[in-house]
Amino acid sequence: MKKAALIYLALVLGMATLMTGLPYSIYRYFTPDSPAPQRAATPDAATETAVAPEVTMATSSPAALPVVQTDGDTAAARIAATDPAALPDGRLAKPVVRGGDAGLDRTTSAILAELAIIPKAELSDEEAAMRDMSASAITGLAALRGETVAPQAPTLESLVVDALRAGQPDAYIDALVNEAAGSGAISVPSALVTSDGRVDTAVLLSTLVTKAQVASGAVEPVNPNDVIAGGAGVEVRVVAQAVGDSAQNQFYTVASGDSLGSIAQKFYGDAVYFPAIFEANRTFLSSPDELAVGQRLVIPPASVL
Amino acid sequence: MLKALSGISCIISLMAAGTAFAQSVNLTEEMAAAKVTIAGNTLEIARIQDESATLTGDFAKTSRACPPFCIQRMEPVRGVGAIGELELIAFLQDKVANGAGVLIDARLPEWFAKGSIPGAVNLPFATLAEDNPFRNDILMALGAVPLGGNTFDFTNAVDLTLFCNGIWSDQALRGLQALRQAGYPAEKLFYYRGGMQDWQILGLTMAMPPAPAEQTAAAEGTNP
Repeated sequence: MKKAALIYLALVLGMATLMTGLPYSIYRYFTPDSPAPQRAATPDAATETAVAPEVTMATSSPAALPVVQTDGDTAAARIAATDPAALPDGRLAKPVVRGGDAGLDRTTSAILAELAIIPKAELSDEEAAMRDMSASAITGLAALRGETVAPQAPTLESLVVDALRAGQPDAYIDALVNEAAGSGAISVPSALVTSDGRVDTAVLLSTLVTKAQVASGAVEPVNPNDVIAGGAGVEVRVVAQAVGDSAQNQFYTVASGDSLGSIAQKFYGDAVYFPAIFEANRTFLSSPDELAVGQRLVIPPASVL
Repeated sequence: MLKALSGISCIISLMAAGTAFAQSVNLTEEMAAAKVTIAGNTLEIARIQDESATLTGDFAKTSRACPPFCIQRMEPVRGVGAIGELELIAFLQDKVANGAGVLIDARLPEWFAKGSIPGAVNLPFATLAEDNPFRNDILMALGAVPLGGNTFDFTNAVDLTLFCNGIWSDQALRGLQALRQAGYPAEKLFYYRGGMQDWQILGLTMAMPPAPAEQTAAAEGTNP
């Protein structure tokens, strides 16, 4: 009899813990972990790999970043606070993306401006008009249903700004952003969507850091011509075009966790150059977020940027 | 929201005045005016009763340069048919009133501000283009369910009727093309080809959105 009571108590306590304390852990338990991002820290790692003439298949693989255990409770709570009407049932295979080549640059500028690291850039008249017209259209559509748009619906920018202000670790920001993107609560620039359908917060954060450092004068902007990419998947071919003249063609095989932004960062030192790679591969990439593991991308020389 | 409300209040006051005297200019033989209730607000659509009224100004012009102001087809986008005023009113009553449809003024805001069709939402054609960073947010507000990336499930998306200034304007066409390109099903799209010019030549009720500065106070109705 006593034994049964103890088992009952243990069950009740277990249930209570599951229901109140660990929603995020439960979510993680039932969701396969995405692979740890594998990314060379450009340009440091890149300079270590010498580019030999003829065909070079670099084999050195950059060390995988450790997966940091995150406290996701706050993330879950923040996401739960978003407008439930905007959330579709089930999780998305990949985030909702925003169109336009300037998306990534606009996102990083908006975040840094909000953090008062760079001055608030005046949007071009066209961009401001587009934003205002879209916002007013969405408000008008909500009014048809007798609803008002939640004034503080989260955006990628607002989530990252708040997390950075609170000094949250990168892994927390990654979990937070991917939770929101996976539920369709936020949209993200297409260059940040990885081959496995996640938001590449590593590229977003490193782009923010670099941009902030450049803005403060601490570092010079990376010259894309000085970046020599190396690591897994990088392939350099020197093609003789005429006597004494040769062209270097670079290729890259997409790996798990790559985004077009991360590939642009690897080859040109800055994710904002992704449109050059996208344009060069348009025959089989209909959108920058369509990257698939194993795809072989042509990488245009930095001189075309 | 406030814009819509004050637009609505303007029509109500207009119609209250209109019904005070005997009416000779009806919509059809059977229908003097049409009522539609959207989100608790009742709009009435009727015609100007002054039988000597004529159009003046912009909408009286006959000969705009083409291009760009060219004559539009009845089915400018495959599978998207044109509708007239009575079908538009029925669309407001059957679809918009039930939350199953949206009447879209595809013109730019400065035109919308000069007056639009009652119940219309201003969704300028440019906002529907793929390069608008907020385009997908608009699609979601129309009931499209995101599947990730740029793909959507439009099964539960609402029916849309688009219009612009009229048969000489391509703005509704551009909006329709952008919606089709985004994957919006053609059977959910309709084209009010006559646009604002035909609406006004029939003396139909105009909704006047308030100027942005007046958004806090619902503007009283003015007869266009």
